[in-house]
Amino acid sequence: MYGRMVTSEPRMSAYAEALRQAISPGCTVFDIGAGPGVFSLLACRYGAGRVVAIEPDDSVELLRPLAEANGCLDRIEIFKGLSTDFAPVGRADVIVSDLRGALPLFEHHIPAIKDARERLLASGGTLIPARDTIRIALAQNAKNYSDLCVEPWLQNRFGLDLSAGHQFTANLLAQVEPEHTKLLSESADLAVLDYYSVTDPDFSGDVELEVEVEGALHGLLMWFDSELAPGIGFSNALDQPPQIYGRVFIPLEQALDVAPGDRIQVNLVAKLVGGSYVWAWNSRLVRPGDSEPEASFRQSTFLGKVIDPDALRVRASTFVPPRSDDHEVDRFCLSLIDGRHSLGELADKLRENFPARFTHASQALDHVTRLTGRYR
Amino acid sequence: MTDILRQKLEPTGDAVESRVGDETVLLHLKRGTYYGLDPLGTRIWSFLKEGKEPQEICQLVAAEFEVEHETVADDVRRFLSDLKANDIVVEL
Repeated sequence: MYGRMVTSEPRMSAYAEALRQAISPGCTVFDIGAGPGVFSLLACRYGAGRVVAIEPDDSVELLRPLAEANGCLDRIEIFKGLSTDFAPVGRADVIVSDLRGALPLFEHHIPAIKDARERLLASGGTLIPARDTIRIALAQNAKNYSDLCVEPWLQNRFGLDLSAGHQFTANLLAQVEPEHTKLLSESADLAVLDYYSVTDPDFSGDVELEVEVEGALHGLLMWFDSELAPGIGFSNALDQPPQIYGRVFIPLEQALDVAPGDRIQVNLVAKLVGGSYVWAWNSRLVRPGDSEPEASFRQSTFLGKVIDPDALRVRASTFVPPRSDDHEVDRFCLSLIDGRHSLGELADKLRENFPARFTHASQALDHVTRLTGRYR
Repeated sequence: MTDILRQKLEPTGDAVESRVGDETVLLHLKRGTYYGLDPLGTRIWSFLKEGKEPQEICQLVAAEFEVEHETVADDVRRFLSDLKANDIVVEL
Protein backbone atom coordinates (compact mmCIF):
# COMPACT_ATOMS: atom_id res chain seq x y z
CA MET A 1 0.00 0.00 0.00
CA TYR A 2 2.78 2.45 0.89
CA GLY A 3 4.40 1.87 -2.48
CA ARG A 4 1.13 2.76 -4.19
CA MET A 5 0.93 5.95 -2.13
CA VAL A 6 4.27 7.04 -3.55
CA THR A 7 3.40 6.16 -7.15
CA SER A 8 -0.12 7.60 -6.95
CA GLU A 9 -0.19 10.62 -9.24
CA PRO A 10 -0.92 13.49 -9.25
CA ARG A 11 -1.20 13.11 -5.48
CA MET A 12 2.48 12.51 -4.82
CA SER A 13 3.82 15.25 -7.08
CA ALA A 14 1.36 17.71 -5.54
CA TYR A 15 2.47 16.80 -2.01
CA ALA A 16 6.14 17.10 -3.03
CA GLU A 17 5.60 20.54 -4.54
CA ALA A 18 3.61 21.73 -1.52
CA LEU A 19 6.42 20.58 0.74
CA ARG A 20 9.09 22.18 -1.42
CA GLN A 21 7.33 25.53 -1.32
CA ALA A 22 6.60 25.40 2.42
CA ILE A 23 10.05 24.42 3.61
CA SER A 24 12.63 27.04 4.43
CA PRO A 25 16.23 26.06 5.17
CA GLY A 26 16.63 24.53 8.61
CA CYS A 27 12.93 24.51 9.48
CA THR A 28 11.15 21.85 11.53
CA VAL A 29 8.69 19.47 9.89
CA PHE A 30 6.36 16.97 11.55
CA ASP A 31 5.16 14.16 9.28
CA ILE A 32 1.97 12.76 10.83
CA GLY A 33 0.93 9.29 9.79
CA ALA A 34 4.34 8.99 8.17
CA GLY A 35 4.24 5.31 7.22
CA PRO A 36 7.75 4.54 5.97
CA GLY A 37 8.43 8.28 5.89
CA VAL A 38 8.60 9.32 2.26
CA PHE A 39 7.33 12.83 3.07
CA SER A 40 10.00 13.00 5.77
CA LEU A 41 12.71 12.14 3.25
CA LEU A 42 11.41 14.77 0.85
CA ALA A 43 11.31 17.34 3.63
CA CYS A 44 15.00 16.70 4.30
CA ARG A 45 15.80 16.90 0.61
CA TYR A 46 14.10 20.31 0.44
CA GLY A 47 16.19 21.63 3.31
CA ALA A 48 14.40 20.90 6.57
CA GLY A 49 16.74 20.92 9.57
CA ARG A 50 14.68 18.65 11.79
CA VAL A 51 11.99 16.20 10.78
CA VAL A 52 9.90 14.05 13.10
CA ALA A 53 8.10 11.11 11.52
CA ILE A 54 5.08 10.24 13.65
CA GLU A 55 3.59 6.83 13.02
CA PRO A 56 2.19 4.08 15.27
CA ASP A 57 2.62 1.34 12.69
CA ASP A 58 5.74 -0.82 12.41
CA SER A 59 6.18 0.40 8.82
CA VAL A 60 7.98 3.44 10.21
CA GLU A 61 10.95 1.18 11.05
CA LEU A 62 11.71 1.21 7.34
CA LEU A 63 12.51 4.91 7.61
CA ARG A 64 15.87 4.33 9.32
CA PRO A 65 17.51 2.49 6.38
CA LEU A 66 15.74 4.80 3.94
CA ALA A 67 17.04 7.89 5.73
CA GLU A 68 20.52 6.42 5.88
CA ALA A 69 20.42 5.67 2.16
CA ASN A 70 19.34 9.24 1.47
CA GLY A 71 21.94 10.81 3.75
CA CYS A 72 19.52 12.41 6.20
CA LEU A 73 19.42 10.05 9.18
CA ASP A 74 20.93 12.76 11.40
CA ARG A 75 17.98 15.08 10.74
CA ILE A 76 15.16 12.57 11.21
CA GLU A 77 13.58 11.46 14.47
CA ILE A 78 10.92 8.82 14.78
CA PHE A 79 8.03 8.97 17.22
CA LYS A 80 6.34 5.61 17.15
CA GLY A 81 2.85 6.38 18.32
CA LEU A 82 -0.11 8.63 17.72
CA SER A 83 0.43 12.34 17.14
CA THR A 84 -2.01 13.04 19.96
CA ASP A 85 0.49 11.38 22.34
CA PHE A 86 3.47 13.28 20.93
CA ALA A 87 4.80 15.98 23.25
CA PRO A 88 7.77 17.57 21.50
CA VAL A 89 10.19 20.24 22.59
CA GLY A 90 9.43 22.99 20.12
CA ARG A 91 6.73 23.23 17.49
CA ALA A 92 6.78 22.53 13.77
CA ASP A 93 7.00 25.11 11.02
CA VAL A 94 5.33 22.64 8.67
CA ILE A 95 3.00 19.73 9.42
CA VAL A 96 2.35 17.34 6.58
CA SER A 97 -0.17 14.51 6.78
CA ASP A 98 -2.45 12.25 4.84
CA LEU A 99 -4.72 10.55 7.34
CA ARG A 100 -7.64 10.24 4.95
CA GLY A 101 -9.41 7.09 4.01
CA ALA A 102 -11.56 7.03 0.90
CA LEU A 103 -12.78 10.41 2.19
CA PRO A 104 -11.26 12.96 4.56
CA LEU A 105 -13.95 12.07 7.09
CA PHE A 106 -12.09 8.99 8.25
CA GLU A 107 -11.48 7.64 11.73
CA HIS A 108 -9.63 10.18 13.90
CA HIS A 109 -8.32 12.32 11.03
CA ILE A 110 -10.10 15.54 12.01
CA PRO A 111 -9.44 15.31 15.78
CA ALA A 112 -5.76 14.51 15.04
CA ILE A 113 -5.39 17.55 12.76
CA LYS A 114 -7.15 19.80 15.25
CA ASP A 115 -4.81 18.61 18.01
CA ALA A 116 -1.76 19.02 15.77
CA ARG A 117 -2.78 22.52 14.70
CA GLU A 118 -3.38 23.68 18.25
CA ARG A 119 -0.54 21.91 20.04
CA LEU A 120 2.21 21.07 17.56
CA LEU A 121 2.17 23.81 14.89
CA ALA A 122 4.14 27.01 15.38
CA SER A 123 2.30 30.29 15.03
CA GLY A 124 2.11 31.12 11.33
CA GLY A 125 3.12 27.56 10.43
CA THR A 126 1.94 25.62 7.39
CA LEU A 127 -0.47 22.71 7.26
CA ILE A 128 -0.34 20.35 4.29
CA PRO A 129 -3.09 19.74 3.20
CA ALA A 130 -4.76 23.09 3.77
CA ARG A 131 -8.28 22.20 2.71
CA ASP A 132 -10.37 19.35 1.33
CA THR A 133 -13.75 19.71 -0.34
CA ILE A 134 -16.07 16.71 -0.40
CA ARG A 135 -18.18 16.64 -3.52
CA ILE A 136 -21.30 14.66 -4.33
CA ALA A 137 -23.32 13.81 -7.45
CA LEU A 138 -26.11 11.49 -8.57
CA ALA A 139 -24.80 8.23 -9.97
CA GLN A 140 -25.96 5.38 -12.16
CA ASN A 141 -24.03 2.20 -11.59
CA ALA A 142 -26.06 -0.88 -12.44
CA LYS A 143 -23.25 -3.37 -12.05
CA ASN A 144 -21.94 -2.32 -8.66
CA TYR A 145 -25.46 -1.67 -7.38
CA SER A 146 -26.52 -5.13 -8.41
CA ASP A 147 -23.43 -6.69 -6.83
CA LEU A 148 -23.98 -4.72 -3.66
CA CYS A 149 -27.72 -4.61 -3.14
CA VAL A 150 -29.58 -6.90 -5.51
CA GLU A 151 -27.79 -10.21 -5.85
CA PRO A 152 -28.20 -12.53 -4.03
CA TRP A 153 -30.50 -10.71 -1.60
CA LEU A 154 -33.39 -9.84 -3.89
CA GLN A 155 -32.73 -12.42 -6.58
CA ASN A 156 -30.67 -15.55 -6.64
CA ARG A 157 -30.59 -18.65 -8.76
CA PHE A 158 -31.48 -20.93 -5.84
CA GLY A 159 -34.91 -19.39 -5.30
CA LEU A 160 -34.10 -18.62 -1.66
CA ASP A 161 -35.77 -15.73 0.14
CA LEU A 162 -32.73 -13.75 1.29
CA SER A 163 -34.53 -10.41 1.30
CA ALA A 164 -33.78 -9.79 4.99
CA GLY A 165 -30.16 -9.31 3.97
CA HIS A 166 -31.10 -6.48 1.61
CA GLN A 167 -31.68 -4.11 4.53
CA PHE A 168 -28.05 -4.49 5.48
CA THR A 169 -26.37 -4.35 2.09
CA ALA A 170 -28.46 -1.37 0.95
CA ASN A 171 -27.02 0.56 3.88
CA LEU A 172 -23.36 0.00 3.22
CA LEU A 173 -21.01 2.48 1.62
CA ALA A 174 -18.96 0.96 -1.15
CA GLN A 175 -16.12 1.74 -3.48
CA VAL A 176 -17.18 1.50 -7.09
CA GLU A 177 -15.48 0.91 -10.37
CA PRO A 178 -15.31 4.16 -12.38
CA GLU A 179 -15.88 2.37 -15.68
CA HIS A 180 -19.33 1.29 -14.50
CA THR A 181 -20.30 4.68 -13.09
CA LYS A 182 -22.13 7.45 -14.93
CA LEU A 183 -22.99 10.73 -13.27
CA LEU A 184 -26.57 11.90 -13.79
CA SER A 185 -26.10 15.39 -12.35
CA GLU A 186 -23.55 18.09 -11.84
CA SER A 187 -21.63 17.72 -8.61
CA ALA A 188 -22.20 19.88 -5.57
CA ASP A 189 -19.97 20.80 -2.67
CA LEU A 190 -21.04 18.78 0.32
CA ALA A 191 -18.48 19.89 2.89
CA VAL A 192 -15.40 22.07 2.99
CA LEU A 193 -12.82 20.99 5.55
CA ASP A 194 -10.45 23.86 6.21
CA TYR A 195 -7.71 22.28 8.28
CA TYR A 196 -6.64 25.67 9.66
CA SER A 197 -9.99 26.01 11.40
CA VAL A 198 -11.94 22.74 11.46
CA THR A 199 -12.84 21.57 14.95
CA ASP A 200 -15.90 19.36 14.59
CA PRO A 201 -15.23 15.87 13.23
CA ASP A 202 -18.93 15.44 12.48
CA PHE A 203 -20.80 16.67 9.45
CA SER A 204 -24.44 17.38 8.78
CA GLY A 205 -25.83 19.11 5.73
CA ASP A 206 -28.43 19.23 3.00
CA VAL A 207 -27.87 19.13 -0.70
CA GLU A 208 -30.24 19.21 -3.67
CA LEU A 209 -29.12 17.68 -6.94
CA GLU A 210 -31.01 18.10 -10.20
CA VAL A 211 -31.02 15.27 -12.70
CA GLU A 212 -29.49 16.29 -16.02
CA VAL A 213 -29.25 12.91 -17.73
CA GLU A 214 -32.07 10.38 -17.97
CA GLY A 215 -31.22 7.06 -16.40
CA ALA A 216 -31.52 4.70 -13.50
CA LEU A 217 -30.45 6.37 -10.30
CA HIS A 218 -28.68 3.88 -8.06
CA GLY A 219 -27.10 6.18 -5.53
CA LEU A 220 -24.80 9.06 -4.83
CA LEU A 221 -21.10 9.28 -5.49
CA MET A 222 -18.73 11.14 -3.18
CA TRP A 223 -15.11 12.13 -3.75
CA PHE A 224 -12.90 14.99 -2.67
CA ASP A 225 -10.78 17.77 -4.13
CA SER A 226 -7.72 18.65 -2.11
CA GLU A 227 -5.91 21.96 -1.86
CA LEU A 228 -2.56 21.12 -0.30
CA ALA A 229 -1.32 24.70 -0.55
CA PRO A 230 -2.48 27.74 -2.53
CA GLY A 231 -2.57 26.69 -6.17
CA ILE A 232 -1.40 23.13 -5.48
CA GLY A 233 -3.80 20.23 -5.20
CA PHE A 234 -5.43 17.26 -6.80
CA SER A 235 -8.87 15.85 -7.35
CA ASN A 236 -10.20 12.38 -6.85
CA ALA A 237 -13.12 13.00 -9.24
CA LEU A 238 -14.34 10.32 -11.58
CA ASP A 239 -12.60 11.85 -14.61
CA GLN A 240 -9.24 12.09 -12.85
CA PRO A 241 -6.51 9.43 -12.78
CA PRO A 242 -7.23 6.70 -10.22
CA GLN A 243 -5.91 7.56 -6.78
CA ILE A 244 -5.26 5.46 -3.71
CA TYR A 245 -8.47 6.71 -2.11
CA GLY A 246 -11.21 5.36 -4.36
CA ARG A 247 -14.66 6.97 -4.61
CA VAL A 248 -17.48 6.35 -2.20
CA PHE A 249 -20.83 5.13 -3.45
CA ILE A 250 -23.92 5.64 -1.29
CA PRO A 251 -26.68 3.33 -2.51
CA LEU A 252 -30.35 4.20 -2.54
CA GLU A 253 -32.66 1.64 -1.01
CA GLN A 254 -34.30 1.23 -4.42
CA ALA A 255 -33.10 2.21 -7.85
CA LEU A 256 -35.18 5.07 -9.34
CA ASP A 257 -35.88 5.90 -12.97
CA VAL A 258 -35.14 9.60 -13.26
CA ALA A 259 -35.38 12.22 -15.97
CA PRO A 260 -33.96 15.72 -16.44
CA GLY A 261 -35.57 18.18 -14.04
CA ASP A 262 -36.15 15.65 -11.28
CA ARG A 263 -34.62 16.72 -8.01
CA ILE A 264 -33.03 14.58 -5.34
CA GLN A 265 -32.94 16.20 -1.92
CA VAL A 266 -30.50 14.64 0.49
CA ASN A 267 -29.84 15.24 4.14
CA LEU A 268 -26.52 13.67 5.01
CA VAL A 269 -24.98 13.14 8.43
CA ALA A 270 -21.55 11.74 9.24
CA LYS A 271 -20.94 11.12 12.92
CA LEU A 272 -17.70 9.88 14.45
CA VAL A 273 -18.74 7.14 16.85
CA GLY A 274 -16.13 5.07 18.64
CA GLY A 275 -13.38 5.73 16.15
CA SER A 276 -15.31 5.23 12.91
CA TYR A 277 -17.94 7.17 11.05
CA VAL A 278 -21.62 6.34 11.02
CA TRP A 279 -23.28 7.81 7.94
CA ALA A 280 -26.98 8.55 7.63
CA TRP A 281 -28.68 9.77 4.48
CA ASN A 282 -32.30 10.69 4.00
CA SER A 283 -33.15 11.13 0.34
CA ARG A 284 -36.29 12.26 -1.51
CA LEU A 285 -37.16 12.24 -5.17
CA VAL A 286 -39.28 15.21 -6.22
CA ARG A 287 -40.60 15.35 -9.79
CA PRO A 288 -40.97 18.69 -11.63
CA GLY A 289 -44.17 20.46 -10.60
CA ASP A 290 -44.70 18.21 -7.59
CA SER A 291 -44.44 19.53 -4.07
CA GLU A 292 -44.48 16.12 -2.40
CA PRO A 293 -41.76 13.52 -2.92
CA GLU A 294 -42.55 10.50 -5.07
CA ALA A 295 -40.09 8.38 -3.13
CA SER A 296 -38.18 8.85 0.07
CA PHE A 297 -35.61 6.70 1.83
CA ARG A 298 -34.08 6.84 5.27
CA GLN A 299 -30.79 4.99 5.33
CA SER A 300 -27.71 4.67 7.49
CA THR A 301 -24.58 2.60 7.74
CA PHE A 302 -25.92 1.80 11.21
CA LEU A 303 -28.55 -0.29 9.42
CA GLY A 304 -25.79 -2.02 7.51
CA LYS A 305 -24.48 -3.64 10.65
CA VAL A 306 -25.81 -6.90 12.00
CA ILE A 307 -26.10 -6.03 15.67
CA ASP A 308 -26.08 -8.41 18.61
CA PRO A 309 -28.04 -6.71 21.42
CA ASP A 310 -26.19 -8.82 23.99
CA ALA A 311 -22.88 -7.44 22.78
CA LEU A 312 -24.20 -3.90 23.30
CA ARG A 313 -25.73 -4.71 26.69
CA VAL A 314 -22.35 -5.59 28.20
CA ARG A 315 -21.07 -2.15 27.19
CA ALA A 316 -23.84 -0.23 28.95
CA SER A 317 -22.89 1.97 31.91
CA THR A 318 -25.35 0.00 34.02
CA PHE A 319 -23.82 -3.40 33.23
CA VAL A 320 -22.13 -5.11 36.19
CA PRO A 321 -19.35 -7.39 34.93
CA PRO A 322 -19.35 -10.74 36.75
CA ARG A 323 -16.16 -11.97 38.35
CA SER A 324 -14.38 -14.55 36.26
CA ASP A 325 -11.23 -16.65 36.22
CA ASP A 326 -9.93 -14.50 33.39
CA HIS A 327 -10.09 -11.44 35.63
CA GLU A 328 -8.24 -13.27 38.39
CA VAL A 329 -5.47 -14.31 36.01
CA ASP A 330 -5.01 -10.77 34.70
CA ARG A 331 -5.30 -9.22 38.14
CA PHE A 332 -2.52 -11.50 39.40
CA CYS A 333 -0.39 -10.90 36.35
CA LEU A 334 -0.69 -7.10 36.52
CA SER A 335 0.09 -7.13 40.24
CA LEU A 336 3.46 -8.72 39.47
CA ILE A 337 4.58 -6.01 37.07
CA ASP A 338 6.99 -3.83 39.01
CA GLY A 339 9.52 -2.81 36.39
CA ARG A 340 12.01 -5.48 37.49
CA HIS A 341 10.61 -8.83 36.31
CA SER A 342 11.02 -10.04 32.73
CA LEU A 343 8.16 -11.47 30.70
CA GLY A 344 9.61 -14.96 31.21
CA GLU A 345 9.70 -14.52 34.99
CA LEU A 346 6.15 -13.20 34.99
CA ALA A 347 5.06 -16.18 32.88
CA ASP A 348 6.71 -18.63 35.30
CA LYS A 349 4.88 -17.13 38.27
CA LEU A 350 1.63 -17.11 36.36
CA ARG A 351 2.01 -20.78 35.52
CA GLU A 352 2.84 -21.65 39.14
CA ASN A 353 -0.37 -20.01 40.34
CA PHE A 354 -2.66 -21.20 37.56
CA PRO A 355 -1.25 -24.60 36.54
CA ALA A 356 -4.56 -25.89 35.19
CA ARG A 357 -4.98 -22.86 32.97
CA PHE A 358 -1.42 -22.79 31.65
CA THR A 359 -0.22 -26.31 30.99
CA HIS A 360 2.70 -25.17 28.83
CA ALA A 361 5.19 -22.41 29.47
CA SER A 362 4.51 -20.94 26.03
CA GLN A 363 0.84 -20.42 26.89
CA ALA A 364 1.75 -18.39 29.97
CA LEU A 365 4.33 -16.38 28.05
CA ASP A 366 1.82 -15.67 25.28
CA HIS A 367 -0.70 -14.45 27.80
CA VAL A 368 1.75 -12.18 29.62
CA THR A 369 3.06 -10.78 26.33
CA ARG A 370 -0.41 -9.95 25.08
CA LEU A 371 -1.49 -8.44 28.36
CA THR A 372 1.56 -6.23 28.78
CA GLY A 373 1.40 -5.32 25.09
CA ARG A 374 -1.85 -3.49 25.73
CA TYR A 375 0.03 -0.99 27.90
CA ARG A 376 3.01 -0.29 25.65
CA MET B 1 -44.17 20.07 35.10
CA THR B 2 -46.79 18.42 32.89
CA ASP B 3 -47.14 14.67 33.32
CA ILE B 4 -45.27 13.13 30.39
CA LEU B 5 -48.33 11.00 29.65
CA ARG B 6 -50.18 14.21 28.78
CA GLN B 7 -47.48 15.48 26.46
CA LYS B 8 -47.41 15.09 22.69
CA LEU B 9 -44.21 13.28 21.81
CA GLU B 10 -42.54 12.17 18.63
CA PRO B 11 -39.35 10.24 17.84
CA THR B 12 -36.39 12.50 17.15
CA GLY B 13 -35.16 12.70 13.58
CA ASP B 14 -31.61 12.39 14.90
CA ALA B 15 -31.83 8.70 15.73
CA VAL B 16 -31.58 5.67 13.49
CA GLU B 17 -32.85 2.30 14.57
CA SER B 18 -32.26 -1.31 13.79
CA ARG B 19 -34.70 -4.04 14.70
CA VAL B 20 -33.06 -7.18 16.08
CA GLY B 21 -35.62 -9.89 16.72
CA ASP B 22 -38.14 -8.40 19.11
CA GLU B 23 -35.67 -5.82 20.39
CA THR B 24 -34.54 -2.52 18.91
CA VAL B 25 -31.18 -0.82 18.96
CA LEU B 26 -31.16 2.95 18.46
CA LEU B 27 -28.23 5.18 17.67
CA HIS B 28 -28.59 8.85 18.45
CA LEU B 29 -26.50 10.43 15.73
CA LYS B 30 -25.82 13.70 17.50
CA ARG B 31 -24.92 12.11 20.81
CA GLY B 32 -23.17 9.13 19.27
CA THR B 33 -24.79 6.87 21.86
CA TYR B 34 -26.50 3.53 21.47
CA TYR B 35 -29.75 2.65 23.26
CA GLY B 36 -31.34 -0.75 23.54
CA LEU B 37 -35.09 -1.24 23.74
CA ASP B 38 -36.47 -4.49 25.14
CA PRO B 39 -39.57 -6.07 23.58
CA LEU B 40 -41.97 -3.85 25.56
CA GLY B 41 -39.89 -0.77 24.78
CA THR B 42 -39.87 -1.78 21.14
CA ARG B 43 -43.67 -2.02 21.16
CA ILE B 44 -44.04 1.41 22.76
CA TRP B 45 -41.53 2.81 20.31
CA SER B 46 -43.54 1.46 17.37
CA PHE B 47 -46.69 3.11 18.76
CA LEU B 48 -44.81 6.41 19.08
CA LYS B 49 -43.71 6.14 15.46
CA GLU B 50 -47.33 5.60 14.45
CA GLY B 51 -48.09 8.95 16.06
CA LYS B 52 -50.04 7.61 19.02
CA GLU B 53 -50.20 9.70 22.16
CA PRO B 54 -48.92 8.41 25.51
CA GLN B 55 -52.38 7.92 27.04
CA GLU B 56 -53.46 5.86 24.07
CA ILE B 57 -50.21 3.89 24.19
CA CYS B 58 -50.93 2.99 27.84
CA GLN B 59 -54.34 1.62 26.87
CA LEU B 60 -52.94 -0.34 23.95
CA VAL B 61 -50.11 -1.83 26.00
CA ALA B 62 -52.46 -2.70 28.89
CA ALA B 63 -54.77 -4.51 26.49
CA GLU B 64 -52.01 -6.23 24.55
CA PHE B 65 -50.03 -7.43 27.56
CA GLU B 66 -53.11 -7.91 29.84
CA VAL B 67 -51.69 -5.79 32.63
CA GLU B 68 -53.36 -3.32 35.02
CA HIS B 69 -53.60 0.13 33.49
CA GLU B 70 -51.95 1.78 36.52
CA THR B 71 -48.95 -0.52 36.32
CA VAL B 72 -48.60 0.11 32.63
CA ALA B 73 -48.91 3.87 33.12
CA ASP B 74 -46.00 3.83 35.58
CA ASP B 75 -43.86 1.77 33.21
CA VAL B 76 -44.69 3.90 30.19
CA ARG B 77 -44.12 7.10 32.17
CA ARG B 78 -40.68 5.89 33.26
CA PHE B 79 -39.78 4.69 29.77
CA LEU B 80 -40.88 7.88 28.02
CA SER B 81 -39.10 10.01 30.60
CA ASP B 82 -35.89 8.10 29.87
CA LEU B 83 -36.35 8.54 26.14
CA LYS B 84 -37.03 12.23 26.54
CA ALA B 85 -34.08 12.76 28.89
CA ASN B 86 -31.86 11.22 26.21
CA ASP B 87 -33.46 13.22 23.37
CA ILE B 88 -34.76 10.05 21.73
CA VAL B 89 -38.25 11.56 21.78
CA VAL B 90 -39.04 15.25 21.66
CA GLU B 91 -42.13 17.17 22.67
CA LEU B 92 -44.21 18.49 19.80
